[in-house]
Amino acid sequence: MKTEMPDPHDLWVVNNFGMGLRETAVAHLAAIRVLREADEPYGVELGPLDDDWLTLVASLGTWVRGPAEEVKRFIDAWREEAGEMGVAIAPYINR
Amino acid sequence: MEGVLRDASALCEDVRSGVLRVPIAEVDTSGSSAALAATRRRFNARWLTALNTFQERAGALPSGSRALESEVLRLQNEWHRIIRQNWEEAWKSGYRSRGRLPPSTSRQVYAISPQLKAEVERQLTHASRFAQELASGDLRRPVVYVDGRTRPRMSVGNRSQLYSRAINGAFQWGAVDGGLPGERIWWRLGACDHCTDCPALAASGPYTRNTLPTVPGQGLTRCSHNCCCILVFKAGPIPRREAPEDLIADVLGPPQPLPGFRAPSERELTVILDLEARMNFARRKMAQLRGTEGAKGWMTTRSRLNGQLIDFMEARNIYWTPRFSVPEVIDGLDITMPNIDSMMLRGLDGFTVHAAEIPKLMGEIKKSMAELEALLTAAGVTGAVPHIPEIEEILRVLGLMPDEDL
Repeated sequence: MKTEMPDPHDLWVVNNFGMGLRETAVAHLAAIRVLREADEPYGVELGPLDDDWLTLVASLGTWVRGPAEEVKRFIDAWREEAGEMGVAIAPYINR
Repeated sequence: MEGVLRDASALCEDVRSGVLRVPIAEVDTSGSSAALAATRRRFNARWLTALNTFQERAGALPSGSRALESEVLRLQNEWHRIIRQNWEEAWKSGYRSRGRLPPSTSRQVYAISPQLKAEVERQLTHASRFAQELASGDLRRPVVYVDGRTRPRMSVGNRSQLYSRAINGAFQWGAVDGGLPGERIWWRLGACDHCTDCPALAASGPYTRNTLPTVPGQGLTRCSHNCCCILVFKAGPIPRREAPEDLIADVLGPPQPLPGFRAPSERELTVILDLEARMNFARRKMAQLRGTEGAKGWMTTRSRLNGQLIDFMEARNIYWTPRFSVPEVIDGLDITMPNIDSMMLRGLDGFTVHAAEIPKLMGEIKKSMAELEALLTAAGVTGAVPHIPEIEEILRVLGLMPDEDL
């Protein structure tokens, strides 16, 4: 399958908020740290990271997309890095 | 028989005149080929005329010359114009197939259909590359893979034909955009050989127009523009809520208060967003711990936060609607698929972050974090322990205690 199109079976999209604005933003940074320091790179996408990232993360949270197994592996490491108050995941269901 | 014909004529007249504004509820896109026949004929004629003109003018020009560059530019511009006109025409044809009169200007069309806009931009990029490869002679050389294998390139004629077939994608998006909010969309397999993507898409439906990942013939499935699948629409309950077309633009734009209300200041907005983030977090914890004492605790927390948020806004006459008040599961009624795609386009993938040195990004992020920290401190927003900020404390720091002058 071409990369532009979400695979309805395997592709997971998840959203995260922390317990407050600071925790949400710190968890977003923790996600970057997890990606950078991984022994084996994670096959996931993380957004937003552009100039408007803070405004978007404050309102819409952090978004992660990738194959189910990779997203699960990433979330486990992310929880450890960001702490209990940093990660509350909600999946996106395509309906 | 005469009566039936009279009714049919009246219906056609209603559609033509725009009297009929309600979309035809049950319909499919199986008629796209017939509806696009004339558009395709015009497209082919103009596309190939532009190509022939280029070949006549550029044939004798030396490679790399300024004159050749100018001819390539002329071809690109002409192809771009042809793509824009025909994609819009096909979109309108699809929109009309739902029994509705399409908007007339390009601006209105693209405002209704960001998917069409993205698709046109994608085709313009392909066409530019096509013109450049044509001029450079690359099309005569075979494609060489990393392992040394080669394959001949697609002929100019076949490659041009792909554009003609791709018009179907615009028609399909038009039919989707011309439908009713809340309608269910099924991806049905057409009568031809299928790639591996189409059966998966068919099995994963029904979709709504917010969750439909692509349309037949758009070129994002393995069968590319040769796709013969169709979309089938059936009216569903009109949703009580619908995700904004462009949630990201809403978030980045200034708040628009209703008359008689005011928008929150930057510090007030910090408090509001902090409370909203906490509520989103609490909702997810409630779901995670469902059936336990812990869930009850988070329910109480969420309820208290909600009360604080309402009191905070009412006391200040602030108008603010939550942009993204979401529970433990998010769907197409909260945020559209194109908006999620856009969020990813604004991000990076794990391999890039892992491998690349990204000092500029990290510098920007640190700067933004420092700004946030300053805002949070100014707004008196404390950390997550205790879970709920003491609102009175925040208000004191803000100088916004109810008895103070606002």
